[in-house]
Amino acid sequence: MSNKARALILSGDGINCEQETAYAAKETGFLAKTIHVNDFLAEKGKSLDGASLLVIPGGFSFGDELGSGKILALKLKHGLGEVLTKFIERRGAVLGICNGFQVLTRLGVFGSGVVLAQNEQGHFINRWVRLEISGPSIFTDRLRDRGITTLELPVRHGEGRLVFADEKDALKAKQEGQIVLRYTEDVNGSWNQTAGLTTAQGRVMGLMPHPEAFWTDELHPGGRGEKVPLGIELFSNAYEQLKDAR
Amino acid sequence: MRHLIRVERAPVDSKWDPRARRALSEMSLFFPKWAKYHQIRAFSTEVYWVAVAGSADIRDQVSRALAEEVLADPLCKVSAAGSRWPNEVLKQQERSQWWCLEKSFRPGVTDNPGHVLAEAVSLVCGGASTECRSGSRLWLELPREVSADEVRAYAEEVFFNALIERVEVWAFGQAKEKDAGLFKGALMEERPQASTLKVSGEVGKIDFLALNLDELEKLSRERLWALTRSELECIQTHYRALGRPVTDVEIEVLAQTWSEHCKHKIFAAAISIENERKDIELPERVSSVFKTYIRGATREIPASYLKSVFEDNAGVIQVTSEWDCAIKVETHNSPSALDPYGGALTGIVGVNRDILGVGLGAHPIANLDVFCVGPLDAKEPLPPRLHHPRRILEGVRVGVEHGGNKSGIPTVTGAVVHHEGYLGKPLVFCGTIGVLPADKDFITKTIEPGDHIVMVGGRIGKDGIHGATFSSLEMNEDSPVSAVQLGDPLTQRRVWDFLIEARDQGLFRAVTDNGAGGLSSSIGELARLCGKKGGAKMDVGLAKTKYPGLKPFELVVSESQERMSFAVQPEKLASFLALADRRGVECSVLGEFEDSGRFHILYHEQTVGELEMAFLHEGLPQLELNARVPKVQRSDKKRFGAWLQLGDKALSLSLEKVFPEVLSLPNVRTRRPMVRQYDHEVQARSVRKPYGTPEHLAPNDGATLRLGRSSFEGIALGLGLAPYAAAIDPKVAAELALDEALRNAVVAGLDPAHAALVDNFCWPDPLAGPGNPDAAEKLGALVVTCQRLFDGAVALRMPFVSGKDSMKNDYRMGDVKISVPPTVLITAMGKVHDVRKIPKGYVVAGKELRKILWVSGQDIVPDALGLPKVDFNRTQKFLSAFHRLVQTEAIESAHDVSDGGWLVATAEMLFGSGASARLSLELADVRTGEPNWATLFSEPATSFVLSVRREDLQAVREEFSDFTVIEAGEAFEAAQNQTLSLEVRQPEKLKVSWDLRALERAYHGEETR
Repeated sequence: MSNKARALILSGDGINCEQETAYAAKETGFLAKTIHVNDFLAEKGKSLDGASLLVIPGGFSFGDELGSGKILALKLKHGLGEVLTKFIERRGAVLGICNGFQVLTRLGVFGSGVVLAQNEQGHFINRWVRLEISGPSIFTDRLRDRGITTLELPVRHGEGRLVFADEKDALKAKQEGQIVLRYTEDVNGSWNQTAGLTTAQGRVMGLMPHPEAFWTDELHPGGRGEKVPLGIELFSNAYEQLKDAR
Repeated sequence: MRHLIRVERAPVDSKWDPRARRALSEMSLFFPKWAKYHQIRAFSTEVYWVAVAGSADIRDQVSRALAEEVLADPLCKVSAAGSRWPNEVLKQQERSQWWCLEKSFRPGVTDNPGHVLAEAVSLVCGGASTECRSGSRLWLELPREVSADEVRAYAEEVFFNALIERVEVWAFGQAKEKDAGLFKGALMEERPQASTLKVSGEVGKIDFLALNLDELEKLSRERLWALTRSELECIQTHYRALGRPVTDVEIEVLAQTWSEHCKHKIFAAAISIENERKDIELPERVSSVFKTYIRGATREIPASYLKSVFEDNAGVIQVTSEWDCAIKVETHNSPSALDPYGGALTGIVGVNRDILGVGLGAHPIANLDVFCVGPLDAKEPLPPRLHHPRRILEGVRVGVEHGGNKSGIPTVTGAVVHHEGYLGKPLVFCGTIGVLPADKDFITKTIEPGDHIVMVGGRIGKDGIHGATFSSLEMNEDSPVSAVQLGDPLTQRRVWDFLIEARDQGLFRAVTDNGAGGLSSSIGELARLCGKKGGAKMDVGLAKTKYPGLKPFELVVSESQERMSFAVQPEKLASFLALADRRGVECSVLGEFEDSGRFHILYHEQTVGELEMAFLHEGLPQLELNARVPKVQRSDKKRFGAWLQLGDKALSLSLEKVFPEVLSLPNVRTRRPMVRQYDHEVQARSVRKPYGTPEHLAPNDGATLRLGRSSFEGIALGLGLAPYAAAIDPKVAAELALDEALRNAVVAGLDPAHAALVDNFCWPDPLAGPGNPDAAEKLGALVVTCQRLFDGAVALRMPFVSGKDSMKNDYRMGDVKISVPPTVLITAMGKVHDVRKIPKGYVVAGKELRKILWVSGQDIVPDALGLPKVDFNRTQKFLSAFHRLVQTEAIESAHDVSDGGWLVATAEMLFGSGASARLSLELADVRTGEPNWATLFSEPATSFVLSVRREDLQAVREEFSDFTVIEAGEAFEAAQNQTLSLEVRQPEKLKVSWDLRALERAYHGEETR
């Protein structure tokens, strides 16, 4: 068996960023495997044994009907039972990107009163945003160690406005350093300009921007040479931290 | 027992009520009557109706699951088995009255939230089977003076589309009564019932032999067959020889297969041409402009990279050693006129299926959209049944958002053109590009006798019956509602994922999409591939349906969405079906292909139609038509260009004032607010996005996509159309469309020696008939356009690989007739050797000065009409030179000269760049009676604004030594505010300076997020 840390990437039911996400994981060292949600449920999540990272990529699972991420979260909850919780308990890392973040939120990973509501402007947006790293996580720590505190990534979502039903929970999340990424401007009405949350000592992260979409410099709207592609480095950081820890 | 559960979900606070906000903003845009009421309040709720069969326990379990799990949301309250009124509604005001508008889908219309709800209930309740439908309520607080009729008028004009939705309007008291009645009014009862049809006895037989041609023509109109007299006669003769009546299934299959939409009869017609123009050389007679000119051009051009042209659902070329690229562009005009949202949505997911159905299935990587609509300030009221262009644009925008974004395909390029001729029928072009692995033969479809016919994906309903024939008719008061439908991107995405997996495992031999004509076309076409004679035996009674009660002919021609048809070899059928089951994709095995020469259709084992393949596919008589080449429309004002759309202002204002006005013209200004609502970079290949600079302020030409992860090779795309020129001279419109597509594509890195073209024609009716006196000229314009495209393609050595035509883009209601200007859209796609080398779209602000060059491949002194001139031989040389400069990275930034002309293109390159520019020019004043600066807004063909480093200037000058190169000025890093200054030295001195921020505001409008 290879020594590489394993990453499991979900696909199917309207997830649509699995290819570039799997590429980012593979390129940064992971032994990446893409698995269809239905196969994953049929085997009761067995592929998580021996995996270090589970990624729920972006997309429109169940067409965003009845609430983004809502139905895929129900499907995982009813199909997997405790498997996901146990994976997190045994120090497995989870990354939810965009729709994947919405799924994690709906699963209650970040608490019960948190939700990603429709953008304040009432419609889908695709644009590049600047983010500041505002908390610890295995995905961002090494960037901070290198003195990098901001990065640019694209957002592509209609429901990315983070809302805490209870303001107390929001302040608590902030205090506990759960707010790992913030927009440097008000992008969608998100509470405290929050773009990403972590939990489980920074091993579980959800974020609305797409790190897998900035894997090579010419993808920046400014063109080649404008910015170092830091998106893919979130994956390599995680790899560095996960490869020895298994 | 069957239980009905009604669930309502309401936001806990109006902050979390985006539907209500949207309703209010649409109201202010589209219902100006109520603008005088300043404080209309609105609340919305979602309503779901769930039918479940079984015991009361099951009912309670489902009810609980709905409220506590499936619909639970921290920002909403859910009420099962009751209504949920917003708190504010209960506080009645004296001066105002609350109204309740309840909206739901019409029976049979695709209901995506409803489908997902049923799936979710099944997940949560251990596989419980329910039938679910969705709807919504809008509560409006209006002044008491507003009457019920007025509220209904608002509902009809703004709130719902009667073709796909139903609405009920209640005043507060009525709503109370209604809700007290426990919602019996619900939806389930109205569905088409199985009992309404005893199908077996109802196979209609039409005695063609007994009817005369007048009667047959009448029947053809009534039943929307869109068959002409001579076609009916041909069918009559055929069946007379057979000595039996025609079944309704057979005539419907013939009508679909022979429709203009499917058979392109006008493009295939024999045309006699009358031509008095000396500048156009045409024969006296052409048999098929398609074969002669479009396909003819491809035959003339030796291009080793062609993989599949005009044969399949899309054209395919090889681009890299790893990847072939497939391209298809479709139009979806008629449905978009009736329901812009559904029309655009199904247009996109429909052309996606063309790509999924090319060869053995390609993976879609990009979409493009072009919308041609009427002026945004069109005067109201509009003629009956027409939607205002503002509504159409909003509808198609949401359609793209749902069709493209939800499918995970980036919308990478497009255009919006406003013209009065598009008021009657908007044009909606949707294109898709896909990739196929080049090292495997996924191009060739083969079918052996005995291979199974398998329909995969969506179920069949009454939606979309007669789409193909309807689009072959003008739009009038009888336009059928069944031609409109909604798409289901989730189901289609599942089909796509399944298809690629099944392809890679070799589980089928052929695939095609179900588009126009439904099974009649998909199986009818696939059947041709089987053996020598072709054939198929298909039992449509085995097809999964949305609801019972469909007649056999409806099953055959329904265009219900999200379906693909496969030919599956017998030994793979079990694996094929098992994989589909694991992927949540439904299949119906309908029969087998055979080498019988017959298309045999059954319904529950009873024959309902039997057509000879030869007659079905080759029996159609060729049309005989007359064309007259239209004269050039002499205009008094010998000018051409978008800036003239300013009207009188164009010449009465000073240059300083005119320029911002030109930048804010509807045909010039930004599309950014729309574009930013499209996902244009999912799949992480979009190197050249619609807007450049970190703030997305500088519009880019075309699109560039990187194909592989390890190689830097990619493709470039460019689009071109020139409907404004078409009204003056179709010859020039054809030239400009081709020129613009290539201008865009070459800036995006296209290698002109490795490129392919796609043609899309949207024409006003060119068939002679009552009320169409200038049909011969319209057909003449078509012939001229095709001939010029032939010249262009051959000179440029770029083959056409795919195309589509739509020939009935007219609206007629009473005396009002509106026809589109003859519109040809050209799409260019080709290889990019290294995506890192493409020029930027904006000027780089650096310490070093950049040279601003205005270059043109044509003779840029405008001719007497002000219409641009195009010499394709010059274009070819120029594009090659341009590409060599791209390859050596000598062009740092480039932008083509398009609507608005030179000065607009220059300013666009400065937006968001951080650079200022100083221009200093001598202008030739060739037009008497106009200010010399008018040339700044001219739009010559094959022209570009470049920004180059000083060390590259020499190389650029040398490459372009045969062409015009004007050193227009310099750009440099702005110290503070960005400015654009201009000095005209000759013939009249003139000095102007603009603040670029102000120009940016004129172009982009007020800042929106």
